[in-house]
Amino acid sequence: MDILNSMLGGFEAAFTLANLAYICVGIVLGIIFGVLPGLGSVTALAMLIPITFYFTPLAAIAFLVGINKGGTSGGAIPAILINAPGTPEAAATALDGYPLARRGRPEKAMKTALYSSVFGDTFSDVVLILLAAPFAAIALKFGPNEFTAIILFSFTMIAALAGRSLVKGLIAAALGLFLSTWGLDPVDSTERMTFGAIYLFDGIPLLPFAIGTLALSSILSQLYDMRRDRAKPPPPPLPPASQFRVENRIASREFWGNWKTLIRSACIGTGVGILPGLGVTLAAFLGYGAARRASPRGDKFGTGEIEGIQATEAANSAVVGSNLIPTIALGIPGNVAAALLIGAFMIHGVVPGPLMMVNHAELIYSIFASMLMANLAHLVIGRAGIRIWVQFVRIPKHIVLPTVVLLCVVGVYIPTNSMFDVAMLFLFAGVGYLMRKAGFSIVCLVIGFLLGSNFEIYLRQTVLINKADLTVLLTSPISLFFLLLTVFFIWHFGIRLPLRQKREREAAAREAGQAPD
Amino acid sequence: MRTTHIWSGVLLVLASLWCLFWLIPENTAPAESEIDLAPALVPSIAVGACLLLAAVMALQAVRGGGNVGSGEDPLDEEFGAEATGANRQVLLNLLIWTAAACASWFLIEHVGFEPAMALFMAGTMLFVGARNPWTIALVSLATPVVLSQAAYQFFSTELPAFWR
Repeated sequence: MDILNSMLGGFEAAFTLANLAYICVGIVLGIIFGVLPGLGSVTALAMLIPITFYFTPLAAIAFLVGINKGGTSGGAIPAILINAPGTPEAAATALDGYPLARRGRPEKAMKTALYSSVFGDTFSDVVLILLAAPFAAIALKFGPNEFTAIILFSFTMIAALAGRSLVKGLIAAALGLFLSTWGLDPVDSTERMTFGAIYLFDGIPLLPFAIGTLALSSILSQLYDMRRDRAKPPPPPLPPASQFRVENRIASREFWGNWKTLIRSACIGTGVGILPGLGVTLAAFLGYGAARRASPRGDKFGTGEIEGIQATEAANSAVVGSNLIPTIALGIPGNVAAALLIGAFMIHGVVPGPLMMVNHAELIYSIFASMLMANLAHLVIGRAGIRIWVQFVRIPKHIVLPTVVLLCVVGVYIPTNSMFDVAMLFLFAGVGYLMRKAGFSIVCLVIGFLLGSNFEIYLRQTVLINKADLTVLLTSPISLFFLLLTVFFIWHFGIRLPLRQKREREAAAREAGQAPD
Repeated sequence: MRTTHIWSGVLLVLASLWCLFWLIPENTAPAESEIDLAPALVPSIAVGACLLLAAVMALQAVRGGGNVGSGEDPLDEEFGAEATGANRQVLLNLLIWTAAACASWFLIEHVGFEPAMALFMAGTMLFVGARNPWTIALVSLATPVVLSQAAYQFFSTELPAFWR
């Protein structure tokens, strides 16, 4: 009943023309960024957070949520039309979307993707609304020592699950933690690694860091790939316009006939979203795999089955809402998009964590209401603009990518009017590019950077409260539980799994009659 | 990838030692009270972890085992085929980016956003294979002007230029 009343209050605050306009603009921009080659919701979020400085907190988060929702589904359009997923998570959509488009039903495939995406999103948002408050109520019982242990565990979990190597993930997280300590000390306000430069007193600025490592480094990598591949043949052409006028309806019986697949995928996506470190791409492929195994038409998957499109789109969109559960309950982001939303919350003076539900309950429920409104707007805008989004697929990459570099520069410069931030942007783009190529997780770097200051504050509070006695971390059952989990993750992902993989490789090499390397 | 792990491990170990023995001690103050942690502690823990893990990574790569990704492993989950290893081409690309970024920053600061970014866009388009002179000229001239005007009209921000 409390949740219902709070939601009604949330709708009252969120249901304004201005807020609705921000949501709609966010969705349109998200879809466009999703459709444009090489971009996606993470790039869009990173680039557009700076302009939300000028918005109210509710408008800013509603706008960014709209971008995230639009971006996740927008990536399906080029995947369906030209087999070129706009976002990594849409790669699974291409498996059935592209064959369906090749069979002359591109619009039907796009509509299926959109409706499934909105279904998955709504399902996940409802779970978020139901679980965020109880989870936060539990988390409110935690003290600094519990949070210290939880953040330590989060670093390990994200490092273990985000990439292929725990060691490299932890190196990236440790580097992020180190960079987060630059600037004034949070307890004594003494200088640390500032080199006397006033620009560094507030630490390394978040926006150039996030935009540089996540967005600009990805653009750089694609620019170099384009140069390398310039002799390769161009992607297949778009389906002819005449195909957008035939067979474009999807009957509700045909769509809802696969309701089990939709719910299964939405559950998978929601589960993946709740666990920190697991990405949207994993949810899409897990949803697709589960649907193929469970469906009586599983053998036809990959030939243009709408059930395959439903499975992937419902799963990847269901991550969007549920990854805010750890963000709101613990202040720990579920994935990079949630990490960027944490950055946006912090910019607007809202500290993510369980106290959000106490100090900013009205704002949080207004955001929940905005998310549900965004789903409806997403359905209407996505459906109405389906033939417009197709046109964005035609824009050549050699125009899009350099333009995005300029947008990054402007986006970083606007909030502070500082060329120092532009220099930081360029520097971290280079760092991010090198990390991408060397396979060091940027997700871990960014999350280490974002959680680093909280980790230090909680650790030092623990020390101060307990008079320098750190054994309290082992005597509190909750912190002991998370520390043991941390040790288990290090043992499992850092020692047991690599040893097993090594044995498997050696066995495979023996079978092939070759000596192991 | 194995060579990348060895080299990056060695470089990270050296950088961590430099941080632990010079950067952090020289640039942090001592603790202000007996029961508080020294401001240098958390940075030192982070760098210490980096040192230890980098050494482990390099050793695993030298011995040719461990889960740090050797040549025959499947594609990286986060970056896919992007994670090629830091080979000579990647270092050359990084050098090109460093030069382009420094030149762009200098030109934005001392000449102005529009001319600097017009040059950058035209250069980038040519670099990635665009050859239509009209497209290159139109896009590289119009985009910085449109963005500069948008920044001014919507956010009252004047982007740097010597004439403003």
